Amino acid sequence: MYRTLLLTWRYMTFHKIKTAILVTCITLTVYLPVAVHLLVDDFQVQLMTRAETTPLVIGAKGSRFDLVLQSLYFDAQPPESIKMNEVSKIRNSGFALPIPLHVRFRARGFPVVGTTLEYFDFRNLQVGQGRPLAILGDCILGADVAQKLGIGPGDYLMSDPENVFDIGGNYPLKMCVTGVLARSHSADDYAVFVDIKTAWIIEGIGHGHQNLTDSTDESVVLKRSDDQVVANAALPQYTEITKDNLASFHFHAEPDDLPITAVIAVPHDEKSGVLLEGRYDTDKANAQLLRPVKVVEEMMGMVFKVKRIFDANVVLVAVSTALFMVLVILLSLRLRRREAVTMFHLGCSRMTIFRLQAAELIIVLLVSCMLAGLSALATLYYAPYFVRGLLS
Amino acid sequence: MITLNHVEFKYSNSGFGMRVPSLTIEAGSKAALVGPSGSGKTTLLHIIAGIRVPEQGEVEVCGVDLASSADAARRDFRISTIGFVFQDFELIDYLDVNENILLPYLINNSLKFDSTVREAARSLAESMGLGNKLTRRIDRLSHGERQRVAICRALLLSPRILLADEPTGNLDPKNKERILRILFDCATNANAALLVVTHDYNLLGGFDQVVDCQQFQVGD
Repeated sequence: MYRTLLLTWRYMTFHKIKTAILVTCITLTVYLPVAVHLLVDDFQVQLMTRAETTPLVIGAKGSRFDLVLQSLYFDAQPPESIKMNEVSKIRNSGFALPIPLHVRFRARGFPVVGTTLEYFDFRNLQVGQGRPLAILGDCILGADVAQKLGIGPGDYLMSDPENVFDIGGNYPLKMCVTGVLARSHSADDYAVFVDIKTAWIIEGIGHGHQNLTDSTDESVVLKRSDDQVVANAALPQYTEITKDNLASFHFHAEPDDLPITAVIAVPHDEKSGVLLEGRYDTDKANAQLLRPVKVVEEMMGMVFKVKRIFDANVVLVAVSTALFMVLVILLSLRLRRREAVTMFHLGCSRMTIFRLQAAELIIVLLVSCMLAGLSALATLYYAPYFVRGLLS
Repeated sequence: MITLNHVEFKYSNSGFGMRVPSLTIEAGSKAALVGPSGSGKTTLLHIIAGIRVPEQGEVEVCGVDLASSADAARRDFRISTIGFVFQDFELIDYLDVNENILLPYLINNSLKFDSTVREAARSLAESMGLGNKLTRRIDRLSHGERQRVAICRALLLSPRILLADEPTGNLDPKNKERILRILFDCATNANAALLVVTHDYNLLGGFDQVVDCQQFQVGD
């Protein structure tokens, strides 16, 4: 055995490029379908886990997938807004606990999720460092956001401007980081959480500025009467919320009319959920209610269709690789014919010659399978991170 | 030592054949097989080595009847009795000098492969002036060095018969004489019979016996 392995090893190391090409082809042929299988499995598990823990989502009529993905992963295009009164309606119905979400802005690339404290209880999110949200302008970071940005409690984070070329647009808000959430291995690790009112301030619906009633600076006043002062565009707005200016922040709209992107509804029981669903299952409803599990199942159905096409493609690739290998082996046998004749003349049995040439193939297959296995293990380890990255 | 009687051999895929009514080569003698190309020199060498089996006749080499022996027995015979130097040396390009010399051991699991064998290969290489090139690749050797590696490989198993198939082909006269002298010395030292296939009639002076293979040729 030692002699066969020595000769085979010498042959393989002498023909490094041929060996490397063979190993690479077989490794990829074995690894790719395994990797896709692992990633799709992980994708499904992560999607379903999040969907299963989110009973109902209510949002603007339109794409079901966008609404669910945005509400669960804060990814995808923000759907059309619905009004905050949807939250009041659900709460007043007594069927479910409504948790508003307003996810329209980003801070250094990460989604800014405007919500209420109920969200943290609902997702069972714990504050790992610092303290929870307390006042307007506070933000709390997901574990990965804090790690990637290298910031923590006491630091500040600016929201991204919607359009840097629009000088009349919303000003970025300088938010105070009050805490970092413990890692939850979910999309929450990749998000920045603020109170929903802070989200509205980022959107420009609420703002703070100096009190014009007492102001002597007439350059910022457009019109002044006994009971009303109208400011002009020169009036500077606060871009940071502090204890000193907190009281000056206000909203120019009724609370029920303020926008949100979705509401997560947590029914008190199954019957309540069905009844709530019934309220939205009419043409008159101005929002749609979705069960994320159903939407994700529908989405996974499409993913599996694509996977089946990929699997069929993999079979074709495997067949072509096998044919390629047969060709390489036949050419190799032809190239080694003279060597085999020499060995035979020196007293080597035909079986030994066959064993020598078979050993090369077996070693190539074993090394390829080992590499594919190691790569699959690495994929298995990194798949959750990769999939979360895809979903966030 | 080598006796052929009424040997008939024919290639199935060509018209070439040979008939050897009688041929004897004594133990320890040095014989040259001559004749034009295609006259059957290499075929005769292969019959004596047990690589090819005649259709008829007797082939007795060192007391072994090769014509009636099975494949495995002829293979064992080759390992134990024959040393082969091929025309183009037939060295294995992916092995170094030492491994090429040790090749008969590397491809025959029936042979004991230990430090004694390695030491024998090393001293044989040193005696041929290859002591400092044992780990060198074959493609980095000169023509003469390759020849010496091939001879070392043939001699490693201390054969009783040394067969050389045109070892002086494509060489200048000076190198032809040098190689022949090495083969003669090795055969003498090993007390082995030496059969050399050659086209070159100028080299025949040192041989005890010259066999013209053209006389055995039958057909094309």
